[in-house]
Amino acid sequence: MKTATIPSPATRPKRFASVRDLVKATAADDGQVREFDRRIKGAVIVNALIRTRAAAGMTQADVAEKMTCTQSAVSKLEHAADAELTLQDIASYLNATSGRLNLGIGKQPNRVERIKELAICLKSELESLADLSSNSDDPSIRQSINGFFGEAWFNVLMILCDTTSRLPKEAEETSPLMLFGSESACVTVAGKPKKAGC
Amino acid sequence: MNWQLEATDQFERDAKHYAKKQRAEYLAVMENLEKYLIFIESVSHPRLVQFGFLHEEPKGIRAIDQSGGTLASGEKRGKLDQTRLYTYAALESKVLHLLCLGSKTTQAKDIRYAESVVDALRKESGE
Repeated sequence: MKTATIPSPATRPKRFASVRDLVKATAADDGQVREFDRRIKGAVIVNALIRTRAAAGMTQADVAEKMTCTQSAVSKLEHAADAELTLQDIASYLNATSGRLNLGIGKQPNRVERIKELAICLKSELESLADLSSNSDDPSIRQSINGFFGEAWFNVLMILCDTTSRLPKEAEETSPLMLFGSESACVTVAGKPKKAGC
Repeated sequence: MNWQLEATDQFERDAKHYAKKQRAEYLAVMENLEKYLIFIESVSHPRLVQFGFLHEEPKGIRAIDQSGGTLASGEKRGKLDQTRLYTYAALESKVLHLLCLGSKTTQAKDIRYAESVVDALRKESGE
């Protein structure tokens, strides 16, 4: 017979940070944990899609209306395995939720490779924006793009300063940013040398 | 802060029993629990979460069933026995209480038990 008792703080019910931890604690054997892992790994894209619906505050019926399908079709899609989804399913669902999903297929880049990729993207986008400003006859567009470049300068430098300050001391001493900010380094602002600092 | 799961002793006993005796049903409700948790992490209130496998019960209790889905391999899950995992979401503390787990035949008894745990939880938190 199930009877409710709230245990004393000493015997407080166990807390779990994730469903996986819960499965690990209650599964009959390791094979069951592996099976759970396999299923979750097989629904990474589906679960990412569900997150976009949650973030948009939409119900399955809302998504169905935008996808021009039935609510049960949306439910079926949300219970599918990644292997069953088509690119059309993913695109339609994301259009409906106004969500965005970046799919990386193949070998995952390491952090350094990823930062390099992002830097190349950043350069390309900034170049396009600079061209837009140069070719625009509208002074308000030029002004807002030029202003954005100021913001971008500041933000990129702040990110570098902030993350560099997390490096261990010995690495910090040899980082290029510290050399840039050291007593000997100077930058020239409007023809007058000034000390660089973050 | 992420939501945490808190399991009653009864839930742990039920889950271990299901893991041993009803392996497919156990995995199916755990998968659905994972989806439910993903969703409540992203919304302001768990009430906004709607899924076909969620059932509203009295006192804010929500039951997760075994329905839906295919396996990662693409095979259908097959016919599973009716199973219900009773949960209660405490918004303030961001804890999803896992109350008990049972079948259709134990449903009435399970709901009574779940309600009594929620009463005790609410009393404890001064609601």
